[in-house]
Amino acid sequence: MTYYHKLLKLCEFDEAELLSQKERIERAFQILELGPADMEIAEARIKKYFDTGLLGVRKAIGVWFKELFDLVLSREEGKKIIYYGYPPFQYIGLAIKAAAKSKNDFYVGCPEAVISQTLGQFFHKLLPVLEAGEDAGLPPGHAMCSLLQVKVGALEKGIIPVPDLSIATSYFCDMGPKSDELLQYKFGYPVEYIDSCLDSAWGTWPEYDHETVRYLGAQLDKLFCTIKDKFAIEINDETWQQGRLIAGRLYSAINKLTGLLAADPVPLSVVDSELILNFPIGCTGSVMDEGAEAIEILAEEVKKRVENGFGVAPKESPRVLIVLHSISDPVVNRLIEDAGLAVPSTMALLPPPPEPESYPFTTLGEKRAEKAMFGGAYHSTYGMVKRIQASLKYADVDGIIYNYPFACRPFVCGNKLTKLHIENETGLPTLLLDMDPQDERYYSIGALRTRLETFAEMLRARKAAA
Amino acid sequence: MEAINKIKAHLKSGINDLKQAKDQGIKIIGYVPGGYFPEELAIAAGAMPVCLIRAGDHASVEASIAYIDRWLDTFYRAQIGSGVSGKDQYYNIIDVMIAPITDSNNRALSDTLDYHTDIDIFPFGVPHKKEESGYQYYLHGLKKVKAKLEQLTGVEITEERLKEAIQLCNKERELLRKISLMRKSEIVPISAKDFVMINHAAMIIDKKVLIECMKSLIQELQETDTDNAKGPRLLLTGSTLAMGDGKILDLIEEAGGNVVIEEFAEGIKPYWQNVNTSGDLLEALAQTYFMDRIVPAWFRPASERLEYLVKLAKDFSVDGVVWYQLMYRESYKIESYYFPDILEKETGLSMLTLESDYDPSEIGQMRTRIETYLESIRR
Ligand code: SF4
Repeated sequence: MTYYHKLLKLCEFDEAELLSQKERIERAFQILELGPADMEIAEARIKKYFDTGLLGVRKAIGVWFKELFDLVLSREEGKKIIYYGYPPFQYIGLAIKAAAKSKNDFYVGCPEAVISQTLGQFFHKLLPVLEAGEDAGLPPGHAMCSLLQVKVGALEKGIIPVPDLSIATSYFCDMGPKSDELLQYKFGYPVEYIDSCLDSAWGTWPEYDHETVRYLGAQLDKLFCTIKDKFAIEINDETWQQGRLIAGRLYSAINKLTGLLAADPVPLSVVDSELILNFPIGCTGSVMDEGAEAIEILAEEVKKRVENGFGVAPKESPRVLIVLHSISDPVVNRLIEDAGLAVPSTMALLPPPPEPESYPFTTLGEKRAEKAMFGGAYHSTYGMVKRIQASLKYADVDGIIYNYPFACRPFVCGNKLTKLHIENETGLPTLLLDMDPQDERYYSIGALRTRLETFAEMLRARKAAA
Repeated sequence: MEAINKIKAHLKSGINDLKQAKDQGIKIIGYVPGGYFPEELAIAAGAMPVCLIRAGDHASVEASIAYIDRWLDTFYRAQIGSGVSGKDQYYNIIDVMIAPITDSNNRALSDTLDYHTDIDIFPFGVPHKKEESGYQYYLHGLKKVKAKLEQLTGVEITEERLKEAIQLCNKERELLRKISLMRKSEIVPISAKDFVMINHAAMIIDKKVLIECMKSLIQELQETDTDNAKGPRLLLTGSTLAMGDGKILDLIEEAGGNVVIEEFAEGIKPYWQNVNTSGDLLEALAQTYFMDRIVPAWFRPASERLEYLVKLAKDFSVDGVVWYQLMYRESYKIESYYFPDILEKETGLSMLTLESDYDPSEIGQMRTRIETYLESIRR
């Protein structure tokens, strides 16, 4: 039996797959420097933190492994590689993949998300990658984004291939595009920056300046031209629609599951729901079919739990909306429930607020840019705050945990304003919880636990008083 | 030098001059530094522009903690501290704060002051790429600023008024350039401290007054035989060189170094290009302030800036480069990692990187590092 057999069987790889994929799997683990001891660690962590009694969870973890193998082997398998930054411009990866005539010739994804999710969550082996990122230009002690340290470190260590193109969203944060510039200097790959300006004044969302949309639209249209010139992939209204259709199954499965999570008691742990959060954002391969299937199975399993009144936290526990999950450390996600809080949803899983009437923009880029403006986060800090506020109507919660990466400027810019605004407008207590979604050296589990327990205590007292 | 003393005196009385102007009904237009707000628009609207460039004191950084996390650029945290304090004379006197939005740090200032104070904040976007669409968007922003200033002052910014304002600012730029270029020669007639002080004055005091002072200064400099460049010649570059953050220049001077040229995103007002006074004047402003301007590190990419630094190092015959940046300015931090490599390849020079959080306790360590660096390049 191979050293990874037990682990991958646990994650629902079947025997035929293990046999036919043997060479690929072994090569990928070799590149990733993962050996038998690492397999044991991963198996133990998965069993300890994830609900492996659920087939959907096991399958979802398996999908992450497949995405990891695809990423790591993409160059050796002769694929053209396109990376995009995190968070990506909505559907951008899908749109490229959908428009590609032979989809298997391309790897399109966000490598830092895939690596964090797998090397972090499962193998607990992100530290050497982070350290490589620190040594290669994003030093410690300077509030550098650890997600980007993962990208820089993974390229520096050679565990992910140098791409043929990197797409950087250049207005939401500064560190993402600047890291690409650094990597461009080191590795010489081309970078296409999608630029815009988050210059809408406080209090103006959902109003927006048409010229802002035109500028972002022009940038997107230019990106589409580059992709056409470089890869002969033509992105237009039709292929964009196809991308959405391909993702349709995935999104409808997510929506179904999200709806079920609203039950009291909450039927699924935040540790497990995290697994699906990054499916549509992080990658464009196996997640589309197998990922969707895993979520559909999970939704059925969760439905049964709801019917049986099963919950991961006791009924009538205080319910909180969290802004982010940790995408590399299940321990942090678990802490929230350990404090006696139920998490019916994460902001990213809730539907966006209803869109105002569209302006008749003409190009595909402009139409997509307008959607992004409505989404809030690409409008302004105020837009992001209102997006959180609007999503509250879909989640019956007693409080909010604004858990944010301490080094992420877009979050840091608006965290205190968000707390004030939301508390004033909704009366919901909001806990600002600074953490690091990739780097455990920057938080203390003990300190996080104390803060969460105090917040939970306060919510319980409020609930009792009400 | 008499002219230098005069400028210093005007800088000292800057706030009183603004108060007097305000009493006479003149609007005071505060703006966030970075070189993307054309003061010409304020002048043409009959208002007085004043740059919110004062910082360097740790107290205002500390005051910001209640409003923003510490993981933002020090200068912008200091501005937040000053703006919300209600005690800063400059923030208290302005009728509007024009905020060219450049990066997250500067956006945090605009949002936080908008939420916590009654200051009228007017943000407009500065694209991060020099492309036609970026140029058009910046131009659109200038049109919005123009409309805002007209509405605020009740004065129409006509072509004639704008042309006159551009000519005035061109004169100021031309004189700044002339003084700066004198430092190319072997004998350096003006110290970096004085030049930076004049550059700061160009963001605060009345232009007509400053122009007259600079004219006299040039004459004095032409006649002087004082040489300010006895030690190694240095290029000083970085994110922000605020008015009031004098320690870096003091320390270099005390250690025997001579800064002969500076390049900063904020705190050194761009003076290399004039604005064309023919054709569409708003377009001409956009051309100079956006397209011709050397890009800061938050551009995508910002390689043009690094090439320019190499050129400055060669043109001003420097012996070394000091990179002075403020804490948590991420674009500069990342560049400071790979620029030394470029610099070394292109010029053979080394670079010293220093960071500040406006904390007085930094000075000792900074002094040692500067002394060691100067020692190494002297060898
Ligand atoms: S700084 Fe924030 S927005 Fe930027 S890449 Fe990192 S996590 Fe994403």
